[in-house]
Amino acid sequence: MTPVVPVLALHEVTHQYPGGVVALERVSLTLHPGEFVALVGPSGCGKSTLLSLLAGLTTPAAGRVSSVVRSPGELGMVFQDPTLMPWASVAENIALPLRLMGRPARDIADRIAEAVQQVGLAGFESSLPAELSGGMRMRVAIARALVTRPRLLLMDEPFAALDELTRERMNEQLLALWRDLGITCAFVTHSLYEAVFLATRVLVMAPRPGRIIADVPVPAGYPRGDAWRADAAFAALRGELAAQLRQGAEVASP
Amino acid sequence: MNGKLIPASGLRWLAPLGLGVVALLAWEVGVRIAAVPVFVLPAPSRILVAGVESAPLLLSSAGYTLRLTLMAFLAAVAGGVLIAVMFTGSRLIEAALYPYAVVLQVTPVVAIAPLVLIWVGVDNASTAVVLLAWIVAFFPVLSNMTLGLRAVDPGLRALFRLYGGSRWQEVWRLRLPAALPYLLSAMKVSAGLSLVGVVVAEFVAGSGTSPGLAWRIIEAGNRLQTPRMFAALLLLAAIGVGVFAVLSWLERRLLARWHDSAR
Repeated sequence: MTPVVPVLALHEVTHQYPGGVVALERVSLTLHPGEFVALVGPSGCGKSTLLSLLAGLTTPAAGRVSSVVRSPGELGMVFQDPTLMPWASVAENIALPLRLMGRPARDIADRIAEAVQQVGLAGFESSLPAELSGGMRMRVAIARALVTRPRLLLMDEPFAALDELTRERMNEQLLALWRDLGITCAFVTHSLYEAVFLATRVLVMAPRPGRIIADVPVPAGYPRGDAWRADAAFAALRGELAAQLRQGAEVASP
Repeated sequence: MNGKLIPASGLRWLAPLGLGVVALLAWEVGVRIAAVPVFVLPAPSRILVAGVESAPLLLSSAGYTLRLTLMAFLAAVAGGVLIAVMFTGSRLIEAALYPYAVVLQVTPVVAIAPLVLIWVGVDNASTAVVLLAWIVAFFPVLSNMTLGLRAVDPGLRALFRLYGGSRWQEVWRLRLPAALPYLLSAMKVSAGLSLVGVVVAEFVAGSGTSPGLAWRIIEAGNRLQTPRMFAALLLLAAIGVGVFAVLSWLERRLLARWHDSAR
């Protein structure tokens, strides 16, 4: 078997906030092609900083980031808030990455149609964000991240603000998209439930300083649905991860 | 009366209108009963007559004042937006220029008028008036627009960086639309200040042949033609209200669908 080139890797990355507080200490992680990696941890463990480093939006103080995705558009990002332009229509919001990349107008129209189809927003192209529900706004943000056909999708607690029912439906649809498109996903969440449902692998983080304390594979196949949520292995894994989280927090507190 | 309540939208127009009619009637009757001299307080009917009699003169003066107000206003909007965009592009330019903009703003325009008049020449009173009104009107646009161009969602800025958006794209696609609500509210203030500036500047810079409404007021005052003075004042108020109404309409139209302030 030939060694698989990772999509993205952090080697012993340390990062500090301007005040000198260590946000991340000697963090190493590897994202392999086609993986769905969930990052879980309590608030303040540097999850968002880690994602920002992966996206190349932040440069680490020490350590190395190696990546095969370097040109804009190969990497899509979804933030905690939908972060849409409130004055622009759904279609214009989705088109933004392509416009910034200077793509010709013909391609843009086709790509918008494709992305709108993927997230199930057909018919809402000319709506404004204020006219949509929270879940639909998040769909627009996901369509915007997918419109460039990225190899890697980074998501920062995208469904945290949604009600539980909507979140579960979005989880299932996200998995379907991930499988269809064959992309690599890194997904930050504070919900173990969500992490175990979605991921092929869960990384557990601990705070002060932010670091990865466990790397737990999820032994379940896809497609996943309510059967997996009700499975005994699901609950067991959740319990195990919860214990890891608690332990990490105890070590950190004086 | 059919016993139905007046709908809220009707009330919005009927209430002030009714109050106005009652006040005018009280004014008319009061002035007549107390036999107030016409040069102190003319009855509304006298003002109406004076207004109709000198309509051609007053209307052409109003046209002049409106034209100068719009010129100063448009220059203020253009200048304020342009300088604010420059400020966003460079902190250095902002640091260097902003204190002077403040100095220009806080110096009473009446005090600068004689100087400006010397510079542009007494024959160019109109230019002096527009320039002075511009000085008064441009600051709200500058300060609001500077604020608005900065009030940008940090997530969206990160997104622009992620996709390699240029600075120009960031200004054009992100900062300018985000600043639009700030600009529109500044425009309403600025339009009112333009009119104030034009009137005050004409008081100071105008002379015997000055064609604006401000000078009509001075002229009528000197001749104790108080009814005509009131008529000129009324026209000034009408210009102010008209400009404000147009801008409010524009604001609602442009922001109605997406901005909280207009919903």
